[in-house]
Amino acid sequence: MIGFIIRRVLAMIPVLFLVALITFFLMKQAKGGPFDQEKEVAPSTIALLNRKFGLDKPAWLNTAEFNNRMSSDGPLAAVRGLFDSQFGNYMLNAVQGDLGPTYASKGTETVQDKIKQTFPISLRLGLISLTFALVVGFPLGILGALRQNTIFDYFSLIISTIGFSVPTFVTGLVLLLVMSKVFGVAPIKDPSVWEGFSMSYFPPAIILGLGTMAYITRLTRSSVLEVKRQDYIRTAKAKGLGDRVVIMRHILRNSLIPVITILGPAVAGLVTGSFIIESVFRVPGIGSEFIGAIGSRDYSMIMGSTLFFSLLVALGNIMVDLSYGLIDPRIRNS
Amino acid sequence: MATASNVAGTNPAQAQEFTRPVRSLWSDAWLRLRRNRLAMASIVYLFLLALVAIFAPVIAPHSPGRPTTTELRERGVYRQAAWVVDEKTPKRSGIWKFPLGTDSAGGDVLSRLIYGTRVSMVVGFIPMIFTLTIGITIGLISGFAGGKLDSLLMRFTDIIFSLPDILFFIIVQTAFSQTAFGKTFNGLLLIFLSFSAVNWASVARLVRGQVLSLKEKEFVEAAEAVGVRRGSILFRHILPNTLAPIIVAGAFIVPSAIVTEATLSFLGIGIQPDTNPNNPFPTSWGQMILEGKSAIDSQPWILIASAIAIASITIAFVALGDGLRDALDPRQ
Amino acid sequence: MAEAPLLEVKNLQVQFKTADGVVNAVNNVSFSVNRGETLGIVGESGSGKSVTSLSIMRLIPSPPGKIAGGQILFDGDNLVDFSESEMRKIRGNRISMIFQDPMTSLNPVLRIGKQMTESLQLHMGMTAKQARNRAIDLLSMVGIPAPDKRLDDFPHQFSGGMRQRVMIAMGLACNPELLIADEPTTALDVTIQAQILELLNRLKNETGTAIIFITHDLGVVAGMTDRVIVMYAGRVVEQASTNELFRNPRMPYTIGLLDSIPRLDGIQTRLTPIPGLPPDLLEKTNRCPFAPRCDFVQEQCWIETPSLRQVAPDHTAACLFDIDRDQRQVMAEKKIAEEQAVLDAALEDVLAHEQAS
Repeated sequence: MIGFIIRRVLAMIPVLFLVALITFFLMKQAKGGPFDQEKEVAPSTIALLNRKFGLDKPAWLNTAEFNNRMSSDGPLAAVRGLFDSQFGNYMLNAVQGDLGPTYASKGTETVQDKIKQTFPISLRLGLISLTFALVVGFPLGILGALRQNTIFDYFSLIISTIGFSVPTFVTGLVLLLVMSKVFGVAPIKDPSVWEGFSMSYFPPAIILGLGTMAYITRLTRSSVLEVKRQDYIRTAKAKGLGDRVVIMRHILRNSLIPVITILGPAVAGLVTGSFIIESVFRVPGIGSEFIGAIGSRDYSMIMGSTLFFSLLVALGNIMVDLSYGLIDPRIRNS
Repeated sequence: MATASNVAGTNPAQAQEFTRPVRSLWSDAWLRLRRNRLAMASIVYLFLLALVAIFAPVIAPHSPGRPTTTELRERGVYRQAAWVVDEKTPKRSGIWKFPLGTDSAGGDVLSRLIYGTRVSMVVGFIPMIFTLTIGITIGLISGFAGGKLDSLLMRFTDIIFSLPDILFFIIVQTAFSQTAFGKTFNGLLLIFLSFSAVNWASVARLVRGQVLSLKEKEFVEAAEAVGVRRGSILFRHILPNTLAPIIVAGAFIVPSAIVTEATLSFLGIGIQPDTNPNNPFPTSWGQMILEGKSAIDSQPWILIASAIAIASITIAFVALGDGLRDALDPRQ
Repeated sequence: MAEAPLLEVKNLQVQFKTADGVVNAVNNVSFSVNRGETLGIVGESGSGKSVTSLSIMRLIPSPPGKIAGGQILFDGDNLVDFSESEMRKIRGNRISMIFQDPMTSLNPVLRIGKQMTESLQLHMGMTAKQARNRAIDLLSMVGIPAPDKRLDDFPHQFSGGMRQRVMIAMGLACNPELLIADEPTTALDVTIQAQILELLNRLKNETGTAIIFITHDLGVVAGMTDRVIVMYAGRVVEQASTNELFRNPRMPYTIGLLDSIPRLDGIQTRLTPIPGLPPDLLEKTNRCPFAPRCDFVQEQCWIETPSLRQVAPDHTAACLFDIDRDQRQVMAEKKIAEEQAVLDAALEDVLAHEQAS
């Protein structure tokens, strides 16, 4: 078990490194630096800012520094000098938990500070929507399958098809429209609402969880239908067991196995879906921050939150793999 | 079954004809699909949308581009949908000449909606073809070659698979949207490429799994035993048998690509609006939703109309995908 | 027969509704099983033998399946009229069933012990401890070593043969009066098959349970059963004691079945497969269902469905004509001669042609 966790954590490293590499490379392709937009800033100030953020160094490998130190300090220091580049320094700091200052704040605020501030809001939102997705998705799928081709089944099919197909920003905006036009609820503007747990989380959380809920419903339904056809269910019925026992003891646990495999992608979907929902509902979470960073080309914030999101997704996948083993003895023993 | 009554009572020589009519896997699947009303309704709807996309210039009542000054005078800006009366500013009240009203630049909302169909259609199908091509190629190679090449390719596939895709799209869009490459076809090319660059991974996994299980099947062993060349085993015996799951996967890639484009455009980093009347892809539904969002209180019908458009096309594609899956997988 | 039979199936009719129409999976099937007796039901896939057995348990998936007519009298009660809860008291208790594929018939996520004790606790009112002890006894009875340890294992930790032993132990758990074994050895290796058959034979004698043994393999029936019924296209086409059936098969289909298995007793005959496919049960016709594949087919076979008739003492067959094995032999030789004649004629033709040119 411990070995498994260690293996999985180690396997995360190349993924995260690749994410950093790709993101960094892509950010370098973008036209325009972070300080170009400030019109009144003198070139000398920009040069100063660039220097402060280490943007005057080469992007990938600092060969000049390498040659420099090779002749004076020896090969070990030279290699360190080679990585005295924007990417090298970024990675070195990131490993130590320092994601660098945000450009938008001109260095007064770090990316990890921003994440610490905004992530609790996103986490609350995500947990509520995950709970919603599980609590509604499973029963809807199970009941749909057990009462196959009844009105109830069709209802669950319709809900899940809509939730599965329609993008969240569409359902979110429609909900906002209905809330304001039909119920006269104004969109929330006061950011302090989000500081603790409040009812305001429910509309965005439900919309965010809608896709995951629909996915779980669809998968549970087809999984239960599949398990219902299995020989061992016939065996259970041939023993004279009642419907309740057959369902609770024999069908449900087996149906859960394939559903759990998608919980990893589902958590990822919730994490990455959050920034769209947050911007629709104006939730001041890390997603809104990310979208804002794209608008203002705040590269360190984009880099930092992308790495953070990727880490969350990878951790979510490990948790799911662990829970998979708890349910299926065939995996536990192998 | 019509032959049954003819044969009964006639002579035994005809007995050999007494087998049931042969139905292939595909005609069987087609039969099952035709019985699925939701899937058939979706096909009809999508076919109509395809016609709308192709004949948009004929169907759209107005040009989707920036109006001329005289046109602008007639259209007005921020005009409401035809059935909405604006009491505060009467000149913005709806008229039937512009059924869904006009936007901030005086563009006719209905015409733009009609042209928007094109983007969704194109953005659904082209990335699907790219994605399937890459995915099938890598999956076939990986599954058929096995060994080191297989584990190398699969390691790579796993990494791509675990990339949070929408994040990747957003960063790619931010990086390239201002470059000449990023502006090709209003940014559509960039969306096609970045979508396919990530989504092939699941197709490759699927195809590899299929190839691995088919390699163990008797008919492949039989073909090997009689000395059929590896190439023709792959293309004659294995590939055709992986088609059904590939078709189903492809059917679900289409709505996912449509949603991706709409999401990116909604975030303002997808396709770029063009007021040039000769551009075949002047706008997309995602973009119209973004506009509708900012006009949610003043002109709700921009949002409602484009929301219905996106919702209905994705639901139709998903329903079609479900239908195909049920039809091609007889176990259901 | 002084004692009333344990199970009496009368004119059973089972239908399945499919998209293509109604399939008559079981047509007018009647047979009986006495206490302690072993009855074999033989037929190829789709002949209705499994559907018949599932009907006795009232386990046909419904919809699409339904018992459209007939009676299933078990110890005098008509099971067709039983409610679902009355049926549950019968299943696994007085009638139990073991299935073809032991690899899929056990729940993969539950321990063997749990799966064995659930019917004991349900039907015999045992406590968990009692049930566990009984399960250990049962496992050692079916020859599983270290049963107290194996109870805590999961199905995937057992081999195929061992799983079928577990299935049999589960089937016998509540001392049923009737055990239905639906192709219990088909999915197993030949050596394991023999072991399982031997086990069933031993348990049958020890417990006195009546058994319905369903198989497509006549060879298996020979050593196991007292009586055999042969099913074809959802009908019973022949019924006799096992000895009588093997010595004197009277229905062309049974003759065909017997001729399509190799004989090990040294008498060399040509192995003859039955041509063609079993019929489509969708069509309701008034011909003999076997007519298209029958070597002895006559004009009358295409217009009349034969019903079971007495052909010898305690031996019924569904054939309009008195056909037996000797005729089969004659027919086969005649056919070979005919083929030879056609070949000879062709050869002569070729020779004549060559001479002419």
